[in-house]
Amino acid sequence: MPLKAEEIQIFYEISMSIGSELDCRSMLKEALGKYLRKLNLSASCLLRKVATGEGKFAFEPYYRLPKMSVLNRASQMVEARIDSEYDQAGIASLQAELPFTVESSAGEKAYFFDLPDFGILVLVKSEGSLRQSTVRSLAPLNRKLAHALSACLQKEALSRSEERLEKANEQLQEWNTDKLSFIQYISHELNTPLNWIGSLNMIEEETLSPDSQRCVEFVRKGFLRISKLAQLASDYFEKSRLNWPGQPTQVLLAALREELRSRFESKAQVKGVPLTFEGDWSGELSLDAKGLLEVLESLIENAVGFSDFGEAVKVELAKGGETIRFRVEDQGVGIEPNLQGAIFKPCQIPEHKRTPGGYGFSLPCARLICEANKWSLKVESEGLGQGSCFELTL
Amino acid sequence: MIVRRDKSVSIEHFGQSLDEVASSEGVRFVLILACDANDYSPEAIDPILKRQTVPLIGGVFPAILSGSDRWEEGFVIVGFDQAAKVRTVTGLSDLDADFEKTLESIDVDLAKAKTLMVYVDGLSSRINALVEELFAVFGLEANYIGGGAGSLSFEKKPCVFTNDGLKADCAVIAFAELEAGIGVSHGWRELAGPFEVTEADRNKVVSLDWRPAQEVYQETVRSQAGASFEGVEFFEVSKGYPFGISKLGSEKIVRDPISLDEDGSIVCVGEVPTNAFVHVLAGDPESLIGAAGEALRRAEELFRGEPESRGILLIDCISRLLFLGDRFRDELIAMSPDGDVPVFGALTLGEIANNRKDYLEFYNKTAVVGVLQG
Repeated sequence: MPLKAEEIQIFYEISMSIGSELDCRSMLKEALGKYLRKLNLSASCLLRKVATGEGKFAFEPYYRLPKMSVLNRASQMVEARIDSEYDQAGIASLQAELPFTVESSAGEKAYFFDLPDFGILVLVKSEGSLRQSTVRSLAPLNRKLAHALSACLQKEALSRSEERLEKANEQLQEWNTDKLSFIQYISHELNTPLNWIGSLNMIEEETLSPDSQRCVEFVRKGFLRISKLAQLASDYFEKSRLNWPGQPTQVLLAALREELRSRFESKAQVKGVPLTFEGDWSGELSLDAKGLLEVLESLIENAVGFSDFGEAVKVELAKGGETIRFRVEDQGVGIEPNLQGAIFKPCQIPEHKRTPGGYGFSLPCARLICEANKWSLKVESEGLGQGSCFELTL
Repeated sequence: MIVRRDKSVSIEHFGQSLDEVASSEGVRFVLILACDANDYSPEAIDPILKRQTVPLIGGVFPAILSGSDRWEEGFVIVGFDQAAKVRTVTGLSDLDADFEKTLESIDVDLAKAKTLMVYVDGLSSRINALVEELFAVFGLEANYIGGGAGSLSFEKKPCVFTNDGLKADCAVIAFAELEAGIGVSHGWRELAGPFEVTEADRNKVVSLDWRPAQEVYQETVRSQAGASFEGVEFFEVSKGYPFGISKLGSEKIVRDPISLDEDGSIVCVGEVPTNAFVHVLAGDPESLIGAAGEALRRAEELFRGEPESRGILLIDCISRLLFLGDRFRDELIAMSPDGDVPVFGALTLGEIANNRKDYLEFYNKTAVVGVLQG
């Protein structure tokens, strides 16, 4: 017998309720609630097929409406019909029987339906019965329900993975903080023996023999370099531990340009490196002024430091929409492509790339300042001897 | 079962009657049905309610029923010999309220509770959600009977009786060890449709068949029944043409369109889900009165207690009175059994009922008869 128009409308309504949410429990509450209401049923129980080992399977209650098993006739009728365990052949035989009906002594009818790749859906009707055509026509709805359940379960598995990942990430952050604190502590503790060495400064050199004076001079130079390294390392680790932007203050761009010019002009002249400032340096900004100055100083210091006589350094400011871009371009030694990432990490620059007295902390520090302020710092270089261009975008 | 009736609006009479019923020997819980016109204020009535030591349940309704009479003033107080646990669920309009959790936390022996009496503030916005959770948590092992309290003026005010006083926006539930048979029927028949509810927001129908709901509805009522909405209050016409939501092998669930919202959507008593198919229904006095008689027949058939000590609780929708007018008395007669059986009840804003067999519903424009063990 074909379905009546009213039945088709009811199936449509049930169908629309399936998969409306990706949370398993909410989806089932909505969908099974609709099954029960529209088909005028009194209980439902959803059984999930689970492997119990050694090729055996069981059907475990996954969701009930009503929720409590003592109040759920479907649950009670499942116990009377479904075995506690099945082997492969038993499962195949049970599934071949579906859908089937079980009638209780009180005249209630429990309809058992296949939920492909998931398990079994049991619906109980307390009074009257469902027509055979209705039972058969529920199969596509049940398939949709099974697919929706799979999607919900996949989403739940994904959420659990995300949670695990997030926890692992938190753990990594914690370990990183521990590591930085350890290094900072060691770096700080090195100051004590350094100070003892530094006390050589107090020796009256005239009282020493010429050989001893030379020894003291060597020790003094070594002390200065170790002190500088300790200070740089300490600054870097302090920045990476704190990791927040500095207080915003007003910066007049023209004043910034003049400060940079006065800081580097004479050094550039001494090296014979032409240093120019270009672009529109009018106006003012409110930002981490100290951080900005430190980043730009590092970039210009490096540009001048890695350029030889006649190789020009250009510092350019470009404004576009809401972005402000500083470009520091040189014609110096350039950077090999495989080192363009490493230069922003501490202690990863090969020794032959370092300037005298440089330890490779300035660009890592600049990166930390940029990250804390959410600025972008990038480098472009076509390779050795091709110069380089650093771009800072605010 | 002790039934005390009084047509007085006096708070003193009410207090005296309640004290007498509640303190009578053997009375274990009390049902209070009172009229809105009594105009009880919480300040005056709360001390009376709070001093009672037996559990209380009930509400204030547009009218109450006593025998086959309808009263618009007065009260009926019923004392039951059976034990009951009474619990209140607050925040019935609160969108964040988790009724499932609230109901699960109620400590009650469900094996003993044969009947759940449920009275709600009929103007709360999440009655359907509560009814769904009642089904999800307590299932259908017990009978359910009750309905929406409140005023026909649709003014929100305290209307639910609890041992803590007269409360608004809440539900009161009695888990009673009371044998009952429940019958539900309405008598409304298809006039036109079906129409797909293409957009709805809980109790507001926004569009039908992708057209403004108001336009489709008024056009249908005009063309199929010849009734015009021109120059009259919306409800004056709509009270005769409710919506019916299909349910397989059962009477349609009626939804009463009571007003038009500012945006043109139709406001109903009770939820109309999106994607449901609805018919516009119509009725005549004979079909409605016949259905009321059918509700009594079903209730009597399902009652398993002692027939000679039974009482009849009627929960009848106020809009059936508005539709039937002078013929309403015939409906009350149809719902009342022959013989000397106490009959009492209320005209409600929506009905909650179930006979342990059908899915639990919040009804509109429906007649409910409860045959209760006396």
